[in-house]
Amino acid sequence: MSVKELLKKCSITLIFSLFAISYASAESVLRVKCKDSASDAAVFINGKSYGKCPADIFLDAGEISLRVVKTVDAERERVFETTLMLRDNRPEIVNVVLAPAQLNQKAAKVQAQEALQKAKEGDIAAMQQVSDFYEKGLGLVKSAENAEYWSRQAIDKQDENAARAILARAEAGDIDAMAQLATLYEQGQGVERSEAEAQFWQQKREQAITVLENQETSRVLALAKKGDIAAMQQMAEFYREGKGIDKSSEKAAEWEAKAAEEKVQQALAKANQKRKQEVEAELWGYQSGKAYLSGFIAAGKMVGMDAKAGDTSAASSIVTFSPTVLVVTAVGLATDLVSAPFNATTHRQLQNELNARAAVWDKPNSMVAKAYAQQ
Amino acid sequence: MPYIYVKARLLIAFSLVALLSAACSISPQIAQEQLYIILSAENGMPIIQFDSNLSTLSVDRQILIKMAAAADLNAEQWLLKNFDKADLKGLSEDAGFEKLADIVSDNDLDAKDVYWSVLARYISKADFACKEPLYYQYFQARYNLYEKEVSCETAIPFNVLSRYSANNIVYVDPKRLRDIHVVFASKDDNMMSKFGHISLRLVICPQENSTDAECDANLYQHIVLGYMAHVDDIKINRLKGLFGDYKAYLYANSFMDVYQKYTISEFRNISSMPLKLSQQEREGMLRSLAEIHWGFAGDYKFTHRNCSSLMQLALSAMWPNFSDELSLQTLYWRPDSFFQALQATAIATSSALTDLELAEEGGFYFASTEAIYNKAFDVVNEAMQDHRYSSLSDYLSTNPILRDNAVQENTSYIARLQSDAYLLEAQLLLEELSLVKFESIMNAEMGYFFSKYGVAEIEAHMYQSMSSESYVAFSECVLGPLRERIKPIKRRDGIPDSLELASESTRKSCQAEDKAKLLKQVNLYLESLDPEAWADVKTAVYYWAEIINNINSYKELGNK
Repeated sequence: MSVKELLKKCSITLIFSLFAISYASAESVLRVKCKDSASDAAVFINGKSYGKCPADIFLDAGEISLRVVKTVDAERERVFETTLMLRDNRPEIVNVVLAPAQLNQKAAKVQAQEALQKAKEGDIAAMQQVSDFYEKGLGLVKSAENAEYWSRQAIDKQDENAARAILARAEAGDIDAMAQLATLYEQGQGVERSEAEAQFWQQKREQAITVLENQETSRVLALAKKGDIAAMQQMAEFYREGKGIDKSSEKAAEWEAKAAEEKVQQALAKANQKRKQEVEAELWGYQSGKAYLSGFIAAGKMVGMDAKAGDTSAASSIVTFSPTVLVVTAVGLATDLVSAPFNATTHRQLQNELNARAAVWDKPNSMVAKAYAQQ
Repeated sequence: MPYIYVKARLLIAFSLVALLSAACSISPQIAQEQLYIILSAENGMPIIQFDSNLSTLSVDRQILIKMAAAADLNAEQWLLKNFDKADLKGLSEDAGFEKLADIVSDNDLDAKDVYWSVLARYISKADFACKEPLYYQYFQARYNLYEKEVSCETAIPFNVLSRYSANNIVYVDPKRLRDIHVVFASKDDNMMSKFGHISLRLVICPQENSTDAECDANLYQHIVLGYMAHVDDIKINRLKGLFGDYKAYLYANSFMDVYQKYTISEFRNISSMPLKLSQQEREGMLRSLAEIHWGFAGDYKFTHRNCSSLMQLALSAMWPNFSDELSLQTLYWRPDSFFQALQATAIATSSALTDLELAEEGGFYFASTEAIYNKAFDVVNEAMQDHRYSSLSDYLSTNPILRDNAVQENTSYIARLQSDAYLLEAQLLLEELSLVKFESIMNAEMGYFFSKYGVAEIEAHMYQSMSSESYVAFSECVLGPLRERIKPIKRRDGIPDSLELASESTRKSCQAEDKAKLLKQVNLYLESLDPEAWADVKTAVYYWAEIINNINSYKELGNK
């Protein structure tokens, strides 16, 4: 038999002996077992010290309160507390598992007093702390009632502070804060319950919304007038819902139509721009050098193009070959190539100016110059 | 002549015949020759008859209208239908009529047919004197049917050729016609206009009571009437032009269009010499010119029936004083000779052209603008400092995009354009001249494209390719004016009235935005027909548009 086995056998024998003794004297025995972290912890039963852990303690049967305390430092300690019922001649074993470090009574008392002072001064965190101290009986006489009181105080104070902040925001024009404040007044949360105040802030909120909507409508309207499609659609929405503006389904439809038209116009302008770029790209060959006109002449398609590059028809002096229809055609086909708005009226105006410019410039007394001034 | 009056005359005549036959045993046929019945109703009542001298025609209008109505015809139609049943002694075309018809009506029609149809109108139409004054003059001199003068509608229409539409009706108030000038455009290097071109200018006043100076300066409303050949195709066939296969018409043009064509586009001079006409003669000539304008169509022969000789014949028919001064024995086929001959007569104010500077101020001479454009070129080239262009034609033959780039890159030049109105005008002059020159090229390119395929083929292609909406826009706005211009010109029986013209007006607005959008699609479809050929058209249109952009952008500089 090994030493270990021998010791184990002896230990069992000893326990049974103790039990036997305990049973014999009608007392109970409590074995308090501590693991490494708890060893040397002070053992108190019903407030009376019983040495250090581990310990076998003989006690009368009955309910006992076991407290095992291990000091961590001057202010903190680790505690194990339990209550148990000891029966006659029946041994009990308690395995001590210490709780995390907490204030010891002395330190707790100091802190509780400090917290209490602060709590009384309105410190919300201190109130919560005091509530905790009361709840746990730490530094203060354990009192669920007091704990509840200070917890309520903390919440009320919190609400009050929140309400004050909301009031400040509401007074600064924050629409959401106005809504919150109205609710707080309705429920009496953080403020004294007041229907009148709730209503006041509700109205104030609505007024502020109207002002904001008006401002928004003005801003959007300005954008819409500048041709912003999204703004036009927004205007339609405003009119449809009467936001910041009198409700009008007709005007909503008008803005919708404007937005649609503008969309088309912008798409068209974009397409025109694209087309112009394409044409420019296509015509790149023509753009190099100075031979664009002679390029046309060399193509041999001009009818009777003479050296002056002017008269396309040698026969034009005795025959009519009015460019009319072709100008009309060109106007139609070139509308997307000319930057200025282009139609027969503007072209006619251009021709009128063109016809007179030479005379007006160099011969102001000529009849053509006079005619231009008179027309 | 009133029906009762005719009846009374007949009764008297029959009584006389009865008396004479009783007394002198003269046969009744001789008496009937004295009151010669041309056409009578079924009951024997005379409708048209001559007097004994065959010099005064009388018509029973009531019976005529009744007979026509019974046959469900109007009076003119009934007459035309029944002339072959008539005893036509004394009624037939003569040399005088043929001469007149030659200058007033469609020469393709037989002179005899023209005579009968005009006679039918002379007899049946109450407004004949207003609508066909030259024929009225002739018939009235021969047949003396009407006793009173008819008052005519004040405004006289002309279809003035426009660059923008095929039909452009302009109404001329005779009271606003202050003068009629003979206009001569100086000769050109072109073979067919070597001897210049001749036409008439209607000096139309802004108001009836305007001063002479105001009327002279109202050039934008003046109308030029001249004989020109109608080109019945997209392109001109030079041989057809030379050998007279084109029809000649008396065309109306806006004076300023004519001015641009000659003095700006072709750098030719225009002389404009007033004719010495009384107010009555002027109004009469205006109406006669309108009659020819709407009714005449003749072969255009370069050598003997051209703008000059036709004008001489017309003036001779319209104006007795003219015939007195310039005999038709010498028919001037050269416009320059005709103009010179006129200058030597007393019927034209040749003194207006003695001093050309004064003439230019007075509106009698419009000099070629070549010198002005050259001057503008010198001003621009000098101001651009780097003397970029060697000559005006060098400037014009430079790509408009490159021209504009040169301007835009030259900031000091831009600054000068903004501050120097004289320079800006010079710059605009050059771009505008370029536009005038290039418009001809663009037209030729388009003409080439359309004539290469033919209007009908292009129409068929477009019809198959396009949506019906786009096709309608294409047909109305592109092909419509083209067809309108090349189709044979409708000849009318004299001057149409405003109601008639209004009822024919079918002009569609092709300037509307939706049409413009549709026309853009036309580009694509035409391109699909022949991408290569269309590319040339597109290029031409593109440059044309670029020149307009240049003009607009320089005008903007002046506004800044």
